[in-house]
Amino acid sequence: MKGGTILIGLFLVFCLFFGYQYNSVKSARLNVDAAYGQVENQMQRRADLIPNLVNTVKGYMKHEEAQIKAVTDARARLMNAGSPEELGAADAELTGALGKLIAIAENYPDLKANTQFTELMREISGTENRIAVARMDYNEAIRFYNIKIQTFPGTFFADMMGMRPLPQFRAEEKAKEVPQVAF
Amino acid sequence: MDRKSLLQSRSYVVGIILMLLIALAAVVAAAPAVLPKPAQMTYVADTAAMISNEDAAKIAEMGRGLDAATGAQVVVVTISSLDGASIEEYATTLFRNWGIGDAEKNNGVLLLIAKEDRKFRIEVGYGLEGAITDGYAGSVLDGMKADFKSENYSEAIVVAYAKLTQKAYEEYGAEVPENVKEEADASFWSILLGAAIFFGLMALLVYAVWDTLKGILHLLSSGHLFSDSVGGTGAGRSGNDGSKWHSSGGSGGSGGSFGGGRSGGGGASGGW
Repeated sequence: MKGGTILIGLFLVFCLFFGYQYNSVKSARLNVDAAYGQVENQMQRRADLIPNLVNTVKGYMKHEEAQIKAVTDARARLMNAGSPEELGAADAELTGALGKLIAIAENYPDLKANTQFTELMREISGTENRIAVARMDYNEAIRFYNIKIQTFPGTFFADMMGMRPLPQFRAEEKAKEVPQVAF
Repeated sequence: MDRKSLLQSRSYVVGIILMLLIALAAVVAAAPAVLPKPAQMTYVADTAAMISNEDAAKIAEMGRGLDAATGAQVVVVTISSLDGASIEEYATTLFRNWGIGDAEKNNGVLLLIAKEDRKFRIEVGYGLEGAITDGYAGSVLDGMKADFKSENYSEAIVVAYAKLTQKAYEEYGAEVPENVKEEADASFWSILLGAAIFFGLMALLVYAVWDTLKGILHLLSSGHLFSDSVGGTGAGRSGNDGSKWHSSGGSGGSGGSFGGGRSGGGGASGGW
């Protein structure tokens, strides 16, 4: 029966379309999660470098306990951060504290000559950049996802799947300054 | 259609076009305009004419060898100016646009040198971050500083390239070919040569002094004057002087192509 075949055909087409759209929205969302995971990854990497840095620096900067403590506290806050907003705030704080510590390190030529310190500073610098790139990728993933669920035909599926637009990871002005040590 | 709705529809269209243009501008402004991906795979893109043809050929050879053996791609790019972008942004964007390194293994390395900005950066793909740590990348850059300050670019770039290539081989536990080892240790050999010259001169100096003293003693004991002279020879080193560097694209890999790798922003930056 011709009519029936057409109907079945249309039904199949609809299923394929539905499936494709569902997958599309879902994978956009998963991409966002993966990108966020990478941000956390890089922040963890930096957090891991900090105890080493603190130990190297403590011996030389005997009168700077306050600033060293600020870095350690900021790191602890970062480790305990829950939501992306908390993470963003903690990250900005740690970047600021690190920046100040590094600026103070300029006054200690012995410290700057220490090869372990130099190596650590390079690693931390590199990690800062990795964090910046990870956040850029995360924001890009979010942008893509938001567009997907707010334009046709994603909108229908988004509502059905209970997916909401996500906010971008906002970099605070402080966080944009990557601490650099001039040698 | 009456006048009012015609007007409305026209401004609607203009509005849409404006929005699209703004959106386009936003997308374009996000990433800096970088050197476009070359049509053919190349390991040396020397647009700032900092590398001699000879050295470019050496680099291309090392690069081809590494690529063939491991799929890892080390690329040197020199540019005149960053045009206001930060070197980190530029490097990451270029790395990703060109797709350096294998798409799966992400084993690409970019050595970017911005001549007028006096900045350089080594950007390392995820897959090679084990062998080429940020610390190591930083030390390679430091090794180039002195030569760059005296505008002795070409050689320094070859040595840096060789060091990075060597590390890439080590990441895969592969045998490092002789030509790479030689170039990577070029600094070692020139230090050795310098030391040999120095000690040679010292020996000559000591001999000269001793001989003169002997002469003076003899003079004093025998009562007449004569002079002996020992000439020292200065060893000259011919530096690179004003010969024209061609801005060569290098003889790139024939039949090879960029693997589509990505970078995560790892590596080190520096300046001179």
